[in-house]
Amino acid sequence: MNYGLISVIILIVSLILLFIFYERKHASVKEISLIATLAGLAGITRVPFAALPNVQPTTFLVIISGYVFGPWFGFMVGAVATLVSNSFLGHGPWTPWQMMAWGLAGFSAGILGKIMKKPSRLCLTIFAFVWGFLFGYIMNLWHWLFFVYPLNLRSFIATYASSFYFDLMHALGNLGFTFFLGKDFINVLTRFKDRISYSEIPVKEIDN
Amino acid sequence: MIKLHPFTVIIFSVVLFFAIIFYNHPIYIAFLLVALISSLILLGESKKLKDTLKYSFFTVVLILIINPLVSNNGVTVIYAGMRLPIIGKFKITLEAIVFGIVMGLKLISILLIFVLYGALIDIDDSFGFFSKYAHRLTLTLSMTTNIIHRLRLEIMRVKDVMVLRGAKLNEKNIFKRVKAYYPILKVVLMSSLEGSLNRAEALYSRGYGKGKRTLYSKLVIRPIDYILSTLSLIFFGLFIYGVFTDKGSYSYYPRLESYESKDLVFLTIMSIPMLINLLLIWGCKRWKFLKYKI
Amino acid sequence: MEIFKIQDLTYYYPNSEKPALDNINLTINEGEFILLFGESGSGKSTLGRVFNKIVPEFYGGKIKGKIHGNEEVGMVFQDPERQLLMDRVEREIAFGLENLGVEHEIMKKKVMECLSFLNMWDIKDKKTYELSGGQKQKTAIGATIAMGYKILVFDEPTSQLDPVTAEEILNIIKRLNDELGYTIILIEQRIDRCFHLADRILFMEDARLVFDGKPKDFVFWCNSKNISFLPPVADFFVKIGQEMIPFTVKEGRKQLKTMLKCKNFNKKEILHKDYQNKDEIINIKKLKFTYKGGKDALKGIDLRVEKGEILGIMGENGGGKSTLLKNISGILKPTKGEIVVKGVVGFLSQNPNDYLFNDTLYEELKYTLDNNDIKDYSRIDKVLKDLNIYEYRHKNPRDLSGGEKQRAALASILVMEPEILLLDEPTRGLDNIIKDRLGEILLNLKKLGKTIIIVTHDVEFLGKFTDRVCLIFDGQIAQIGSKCEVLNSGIYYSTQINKLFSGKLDGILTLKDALDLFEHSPKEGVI
Repeated sequence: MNYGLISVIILIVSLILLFIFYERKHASVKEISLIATLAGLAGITRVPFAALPNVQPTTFLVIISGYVFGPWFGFMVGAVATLVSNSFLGHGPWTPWQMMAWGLAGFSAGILGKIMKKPSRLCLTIFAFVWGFLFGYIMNLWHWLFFVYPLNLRSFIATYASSFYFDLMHALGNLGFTFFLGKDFINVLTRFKDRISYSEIPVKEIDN
Repeated sequence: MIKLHPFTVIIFSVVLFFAIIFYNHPIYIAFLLVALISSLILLGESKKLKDTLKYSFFTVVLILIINPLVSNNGVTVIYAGMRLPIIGKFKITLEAIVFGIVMGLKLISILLIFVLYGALIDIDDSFGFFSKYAHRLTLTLSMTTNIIHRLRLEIMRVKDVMVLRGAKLNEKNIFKRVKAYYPILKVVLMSSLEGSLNRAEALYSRGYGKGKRTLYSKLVIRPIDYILSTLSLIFFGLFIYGVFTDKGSYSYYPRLESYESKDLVFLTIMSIPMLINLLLIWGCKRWKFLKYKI
Repeated sequence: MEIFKIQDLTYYYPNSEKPALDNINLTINEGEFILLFGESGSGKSTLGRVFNKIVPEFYGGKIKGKIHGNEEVGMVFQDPERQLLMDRVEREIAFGLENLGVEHEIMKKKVMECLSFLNMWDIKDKKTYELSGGQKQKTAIGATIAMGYKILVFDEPTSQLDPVTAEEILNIIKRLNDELGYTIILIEQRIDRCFHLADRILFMEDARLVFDGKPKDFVFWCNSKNISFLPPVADFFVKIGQEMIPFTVKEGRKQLKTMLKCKNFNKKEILHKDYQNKDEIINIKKLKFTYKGGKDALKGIDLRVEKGEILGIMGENGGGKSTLLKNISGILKPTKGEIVVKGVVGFLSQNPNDYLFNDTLYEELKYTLDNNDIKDYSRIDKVLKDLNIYEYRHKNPRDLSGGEKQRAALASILVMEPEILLLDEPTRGLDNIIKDRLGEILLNLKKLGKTIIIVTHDVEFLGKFTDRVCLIFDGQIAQIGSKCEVLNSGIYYSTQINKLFSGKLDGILTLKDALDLFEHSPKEGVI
């Protein structure tokens, strides 16, 4: 069995299915525009923090987008942000994996938002911190599946140990962003959500 | 550059990608790598080639190190060490080293496929191609691209503003730095949200989503596209055949396998359509005859 | 022919208690060129959005009254960056047609015609994000007219552009009206550039339509209400009591000539005192600056700025003005040469939104103080009072109107008590009333001993409020001197009033200068 090949086929097929879902969902102009905006913001922030390895608000922004606007929205923000920013930073076999990893970060945050309406700052911070590592683990997966043999616990640990420092920095960055900025940014997004969701209410005529 | 239909490029790259992922035969991998490098040079992409080799260096080294360290499987032991907790007995084998090297080459080949894809695809055409099937997604992508370009300038501007108001962005401490960046991110977030409403207005007033859409860009499918795609499909068929008949495989463990001629013959046959493809692409760039006749 | 009719329209945005439009009655005729004026927040943008149904279909809310009109209406927005959606110019123009489901052949033709009409063939294959602001706005106009709309609403299409580009855009709008007979509704701040184009003027105030009529009547109406929404030429003639009101310099000069002939007016000496030598606060010697990409932005600048003066800097885009400001403020370090700056520098960029991120105005100012380790919080109230925004101290600065936002941003740097204040395009997108308010504030700051440097394209503003003016061209200083020296008899860098009097009387820069000439006998000499 060639796990590398199988994993990449599963990955690409599921991404295609998710995008088909997005096509069919009939997103409104406001949603499309907002997804593009938040994805753009998450994408561009992969660059300016480059001075510190792996400390980027990207994951944080994807998570709060998903948290406020729901799982599908979060997934699209994560996936689109990756796809577009990689056309500047360089496409490679990692692109679908990154899309999946960031997409899932947004998706899971959306589920968190559905389960817990008002999570504490601590809870959100831990969530983001954990995603710092999870992201690294998803990214390591392709590396491990493709280029390492045999696929056992030992090679798994060795692969993951090699990226520990980067994952830790990523997690710490997420922790910092969520702790200091999380509540505030969620408020900003929630207020905006309230503002745009009004148009869904049909226009009311005023009685004379 | 020659203009190929996006479909032609995509199918060729995908089949090539599958073949490289699946086959571990050292000679085949080495051959593909040489083929890729030489076609990239012939297509005038030496600079990108160099950059990719440079960037992949670190990962390749990682693969070279990890494989021998974690693999207990080989029998030709070069170095044997003590027992370690969890990991078990520590030894380095010749097989694992060779495997690591081949995997490193494989990684480089995969990266080069992406370079080749980037060199062959016409971004505008692929945009038209995709918007036919997924116009919402392509619209989202093109809007995101525009937004990223705008945000880049905006972030630089706001950075200047905040620095002049005394924000200290060069803090060594990661948390302090995150805090210093807070105003910049927030300003940019708030203005982007405003912008998203403006863009939605623009989408609305351009009639987006009002009814059935038509397409502006029409892609031409030329004979060369048919030829290349057919060759890619033959390539793919041979690949599938190989997968199910277990031809062309190679095992590193427990001991490096010696080369079997039937594998080599199969791999050579499988390479023929791919090589013709590469030659045709190069030929189209070189010769007017090919460029205009097919 | 009537093509659009609004009857008793009242509209509330969702969640809002105050009407955005209050009892509007309006008829639009085919082929009219209509200017829609009003202060920011008066509801003019909302009214503009009624025509293509963004209000209320897109925003929701509550509405009363009737809107008649079957024609589709196209709209071009303020910010050129925020209305382009596609990656390439050609595709951008085709985008609307694709949405309307137009057939491929017709689409090709329309895109082609559009590119020709707007003379954009050279940029048709460019990426939209690589374009300059003017090209972007042109593309947005192209994308709208390609859709075949014959009524077009422009919502401040030039407010983000420099005057030269703005002129180009206004010319296109004029051609759409002249050559194609399209109906134009233009919301605009640059009154002096578009006033003469209009057939009709609408003026809004507090969600109501308070004036609807001919430009000429508007001039008298404005004058009687003391609203400064007129181009300087028209303002001058109405203020000296003329019956005939010219709108352009050309007509104005003609009329002035006959007036000067038959009138012996009081030829008071207009004195713009030259700047006296005071202590220098900035001294720049042989400043050179080269960007990383190798572009020489400054090629040897020598500049002495004196304490307590207001210095205006003008020049071409990309001529080095902004680079100079950044060098003075310390964001950029000179490649060669020397800059001595004696004092704290405050910098106000052209977009006040870049400054405002806190929940209250008070905290906004406190943020600056905390960053600079200043413990004296009494400064906050003082600055807010100085700038006349004390009442908003607990409001969210983002909810303020355009002019107030700018003052909020200004307050957030004044709280550092800088001796030197740098302003980059402070008047962009502001209407005359807010501009004058800003000018007053700057004069007040000058009295407090601050030194102010303004980079701008706004000649009228400089003519009114500066002491000296400096022209920068291609990284070098072309001219520097008192505003009278520099702005007098210019072809481009000169005020409208100066152009009116040029060759007849020297040194008249502002409306006030001109009125002073006539102050004793305003009614005499009327033909």
